[in-house]
Amino acid sequence: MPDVRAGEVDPVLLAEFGPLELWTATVVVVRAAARAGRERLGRLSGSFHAAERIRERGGRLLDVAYPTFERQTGLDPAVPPTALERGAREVVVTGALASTHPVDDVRLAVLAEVGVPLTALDAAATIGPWRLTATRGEPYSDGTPTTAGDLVVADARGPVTPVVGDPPRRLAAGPRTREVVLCAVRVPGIESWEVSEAVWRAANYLAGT
Amino acid sequence: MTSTEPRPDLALAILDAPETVASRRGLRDQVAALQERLRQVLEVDWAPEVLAAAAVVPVAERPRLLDLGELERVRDDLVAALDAVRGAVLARRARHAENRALLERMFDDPDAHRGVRLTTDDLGLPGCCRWQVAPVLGVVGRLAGWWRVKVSSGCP
Repeated sequence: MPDVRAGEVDPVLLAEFGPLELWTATVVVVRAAARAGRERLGRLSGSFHAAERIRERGGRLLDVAYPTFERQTGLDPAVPPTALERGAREVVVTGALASTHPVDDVRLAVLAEVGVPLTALDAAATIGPWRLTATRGEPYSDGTPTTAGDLVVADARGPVTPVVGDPPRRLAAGPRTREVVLCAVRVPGIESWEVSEAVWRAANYLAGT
Repeated sequence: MTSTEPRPDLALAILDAPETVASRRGLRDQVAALQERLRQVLEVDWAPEVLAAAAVVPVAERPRLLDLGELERVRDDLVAALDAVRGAVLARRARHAENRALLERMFDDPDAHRGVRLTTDDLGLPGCCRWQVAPVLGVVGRLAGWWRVKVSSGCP
């Protein structure tokens, strides 16, 4: 069974934002995850009231704590920061949560089920432990630049993904990724257990347990 | 160490003096409260013109640790957006009230409102019904001046 771990959070960020947490799990994707993911999305499509949720949550599919955090960090929460959520809003038009590949299918299922956004990294491109921090301008480990003060998840080599939004393409998990690092950030306004449970749930889906 | 002294452990020198962690947290709390109010207003009146009024230019392209000035800008933009949204909601409600009064006049005197058409959206109602002042028996009614309000059967 996958192990969900709490990552370190920069004390500066705790002083600034209050209860921030980072939850991660490393999991090997089983073959059966692809089919199970498609079936899960099919089932969810029939029961997921996307339009209602979008209306309740100011145009978003995730927990309202996340748009608030996005606003506090300078973003416009009216525009979902991840391609996954932007695509997921199409469910209102199409009536179906579209399947792409096992990892994104699981991220989408967890987004629909519990409203927690997950980031999936290629375990071959990053090595734990991971921590939540603000950059001093150092680039991502694939060379993508940052500016001082960017809020990121970092490993020992440097930033690997922004706290909100998609990771650089070379670091992100894709259709052929065998081992995935799942991470989710707990922001003020959402309970710790909800976020850790979301990571645990996604890890179990991918591991087929 | 008092709250006004610079914090050596802060990530960014620009965030140290003279502002304080407490003032930034206070502003973040204000931003959170305003964001929640905006969400509640949008939940009640979810219409394109209301959503357009809520648009705010983001302060950053990526999530950042904002300084005091940036947080003040976020707060002020949110206050302005909330005002704009409330204005849009009031204008929308006033338009709906006018259209409901027009619908009553259409029923009272169809002849004076020939061809006028209203939809549920014009009246602020759910669904997709349509009210149109149309002639009875087509051309015959048009020539004879027989007009009535025809109500559509709703969504296909």
